[in-house]
Amino acid sequence: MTTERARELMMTVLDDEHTPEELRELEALAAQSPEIREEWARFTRVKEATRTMAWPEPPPETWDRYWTNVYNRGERTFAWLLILVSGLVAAGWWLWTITPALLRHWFADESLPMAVRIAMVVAGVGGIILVLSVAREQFTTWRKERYKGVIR
Amino acid sequence: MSAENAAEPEAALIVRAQTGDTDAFGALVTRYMRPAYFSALGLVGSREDALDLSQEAFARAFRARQQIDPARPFYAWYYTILRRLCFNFLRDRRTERVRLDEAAPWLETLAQGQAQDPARTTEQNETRRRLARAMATLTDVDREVLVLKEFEELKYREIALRLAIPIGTVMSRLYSARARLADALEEP
Repeated sequence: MTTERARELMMTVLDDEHTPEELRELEALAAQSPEIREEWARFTRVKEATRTMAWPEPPPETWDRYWTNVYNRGERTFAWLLILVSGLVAAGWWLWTITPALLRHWFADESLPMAVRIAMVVAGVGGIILVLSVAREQFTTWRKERYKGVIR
Repeated sequence: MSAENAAEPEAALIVRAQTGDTDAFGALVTRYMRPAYFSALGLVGSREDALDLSQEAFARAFRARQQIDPARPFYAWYYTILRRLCFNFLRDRRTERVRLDEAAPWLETLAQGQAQDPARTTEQNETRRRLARAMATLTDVDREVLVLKEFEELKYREIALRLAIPIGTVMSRLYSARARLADALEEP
């Protein structure tokens, strides 16, 4: 089993980020340990293999359209945000105006048992709590996510 | 994007972008779109997803542009957004292995396309296939460090700075990733 130090030395020498002292230290360790020599041989094969690999180039038009796609994406996100906000305002206004009328209707309708009327109100309150809870969770997540990428 | 924008210092482009100048931000995007795409490709292993995620990261970067410090490198800041998006993508989709397996052509040999010994080509293709498969089995963070080292050719110090981790962690992740790749290359 190679030691942590031997592992670090193998990586630094393999990646040519070593000092002359580190190279000597690794050579000394390798001279004493067949395991290190064997592992070093494995890593040099990997290094050689990865050195010959490269990312395939995408089609040239990918780069021509790249910025336009980013711009369109940002613009569309903004458009969706506007639609969402206006939709929420409209839905809020509608609920605000329709709810009292509904409540009046339910409570005036004597054919409905009192238990049903109360259950409908309770269901309405449950719905409001649910919406507020989801909204609060989304807002909290958004606030945390917003700062996640910031290097302090 | 004008040639003037292309030659403008990064800090000046950031300041202009922060005032809402989309041309300036476009110049930043054009400057970094290639490393962004290839970084994402290294993380998610699929060309289409890499393109989508790198563009989405730029769109988010534009929305969060007021947080950019013009005195610091733009790409390092952008990369934090990109890697978070890529890791979330891998976590959410739970299709990491499948996608990486499907994306075997995401690695190609540098010599591909040039006339060479058919036996050598076959051997390189086999090596590529094994490497691509082994990379799919690495943890996200090990693969990320390997990609930054081998494909983006960053120094340990640069990787440590970009990922905000100690240099020792960079080396231990590299060791772990390479040990896995070595096993894959030795498989019968």
